[in-house]
Amino acid sequence: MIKTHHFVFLILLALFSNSIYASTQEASTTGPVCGNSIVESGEQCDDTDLNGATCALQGFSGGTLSCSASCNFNTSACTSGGGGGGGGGGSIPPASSTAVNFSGKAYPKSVVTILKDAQIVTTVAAGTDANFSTLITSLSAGNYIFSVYSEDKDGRRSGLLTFPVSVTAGATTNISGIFLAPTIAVDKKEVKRGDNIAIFGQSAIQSDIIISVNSEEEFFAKTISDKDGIYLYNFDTSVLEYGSHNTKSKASIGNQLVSGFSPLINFKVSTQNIPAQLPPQAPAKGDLDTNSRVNLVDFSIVAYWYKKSNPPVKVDLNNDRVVNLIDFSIMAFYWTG
Amino acid sequence: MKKNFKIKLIILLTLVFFFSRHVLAAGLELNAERNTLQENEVFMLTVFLNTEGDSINTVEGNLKYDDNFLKAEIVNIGGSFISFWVEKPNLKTLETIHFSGIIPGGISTVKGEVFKIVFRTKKTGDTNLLLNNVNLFLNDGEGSLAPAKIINTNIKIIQGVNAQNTLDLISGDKIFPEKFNIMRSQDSSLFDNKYFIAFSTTDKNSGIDHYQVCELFKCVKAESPFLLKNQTPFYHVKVNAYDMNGNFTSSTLISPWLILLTASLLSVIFIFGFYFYRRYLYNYRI
Repeated sequence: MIKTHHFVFLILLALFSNSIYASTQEASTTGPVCGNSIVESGEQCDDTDLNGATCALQGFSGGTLSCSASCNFNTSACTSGGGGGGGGGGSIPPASSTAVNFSGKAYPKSVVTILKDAQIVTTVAAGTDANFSTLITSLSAGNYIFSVYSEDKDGRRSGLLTFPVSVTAGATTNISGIFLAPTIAVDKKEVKRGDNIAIFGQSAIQSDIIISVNSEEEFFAKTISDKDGIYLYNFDTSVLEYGSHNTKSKASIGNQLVSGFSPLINFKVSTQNIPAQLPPQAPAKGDLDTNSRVNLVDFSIVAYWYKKSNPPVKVDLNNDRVVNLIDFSIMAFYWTG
Repeated sequence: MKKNFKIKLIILLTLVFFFSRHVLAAGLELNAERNTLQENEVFMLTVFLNTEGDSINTVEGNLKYDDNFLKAEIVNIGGSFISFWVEKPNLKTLETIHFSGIIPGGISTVKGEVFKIVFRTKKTGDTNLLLNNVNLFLNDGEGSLAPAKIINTNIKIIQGVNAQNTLDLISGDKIFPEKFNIMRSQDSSLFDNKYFIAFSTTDKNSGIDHYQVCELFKCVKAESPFLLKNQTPFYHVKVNAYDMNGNFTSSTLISPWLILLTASLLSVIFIFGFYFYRRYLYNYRI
């Protein structure tokens, strides 16, 4: 009897430990297999397959390039050129992986989100100087669309800044000088003509902010963001006609870095003041599953109803009673990943 | 006299405005690697987007060809900038290849690849490759249409011994599809509020061919969104993304509850096992 218990215990133990092990294995995405003599995504080389690379292509004058056990280039047998007299031993350039490096300015202490082919690949915190930098690795050679956006201290998002990038195998592509557009908000959604409307938001510190107010005539105003990147401009609405207007802003630093325009904010000039609501945490449109994001799940919902009859009201983003490419375009604009 | 001058000026400015808009309009262009080919020869045609400074986030169109002169053999989306295809270009319909897809956040490009297609010439003669029903949508949050300029191309097929009768875009692909995540969700507008999964990835070489979803021990060819059979909180689902050459990348989504349950069961077994083992040792000594 006791022997039976012993057996049962051992069998169950083996079974469950195997199950746990299998789950752990399954949890990871199947990646490249180093040692199968096939160069796969994330590998520079594999065994004898050097993917066409040579010492010369790695910056050496000659020698034999080989592949390390971790499927990176081994340049120890590569030789450097003649060296030209007396310079103290040139350093061997490290073999680089296939990667893209992003750097630029967002807003002080903001979280910058990087999307790869419209799906979030990483987030990085900007410093107090609004600078950020991050390296995206494990890429294949090919065409990618990278997008960058950030959120200010009040949760307002910048627009998506997209970069079509052709990535080269074994090289790091630098995308530098990114300057995200300022965020923008107004204190009133309806303003009494002649009263001021406060236009504010966040950008990099000490940036020149150009504010545009679109009316029949376009008005421009200029201000400077403070040490926290925050800017505020009180716009006198006496120059505006009654009716709907919108405003947007862009930033520049020393005429060298110039951002694009922020998203448009609408307001109305009328006979009364109505305060604007707090910044919405969710995108204005496209967040169908109400998780404050517009991403693949929302795309899937719209794709399911594409060209089908009687779509749910919330899926029909422009309220024309059909789900067509206009709805996809609207969703693509509000995308967050 | 003054009035005439004003009218002429207005007409001139209107024409300049109209034509400048036309010249600078975003558009799609067909680009054949060669325009004069021999019979039974293959060539690659690429559909390019030039946004002319606009930001375009949705692209749609039809590529038309004459089946008397050309046979469409392979569609390649590996180099495309399209992030999500609404209708992936395919060869199911003779003489028409329909395509539509989106680029979240928009793209501004001079020569962005939409997709490539390999054609084989059939018989001598002149034939046109044409784009129609092209719609380009601006990234403006309203789904506005951009005026679209189309540049078509034509192919001259001559007699002779063909120089190239194979163009292998697939079997040389050793690169795995990109890693990806599975998203599990539920929504009142889909599958009666039951749980589904959404997934998507790209392959930078031959392009994604299909997906396979595995629940428990059964795998099926599937598309996103996919209604889950297992609607309990203890889910375990795997998605395999295959490229055209059969390379695949897997992603697995496991419920934290399932992991917790398994760990708990294992702990119970350990405790009982230890208890019985001690009893066994005790009895053995007796």
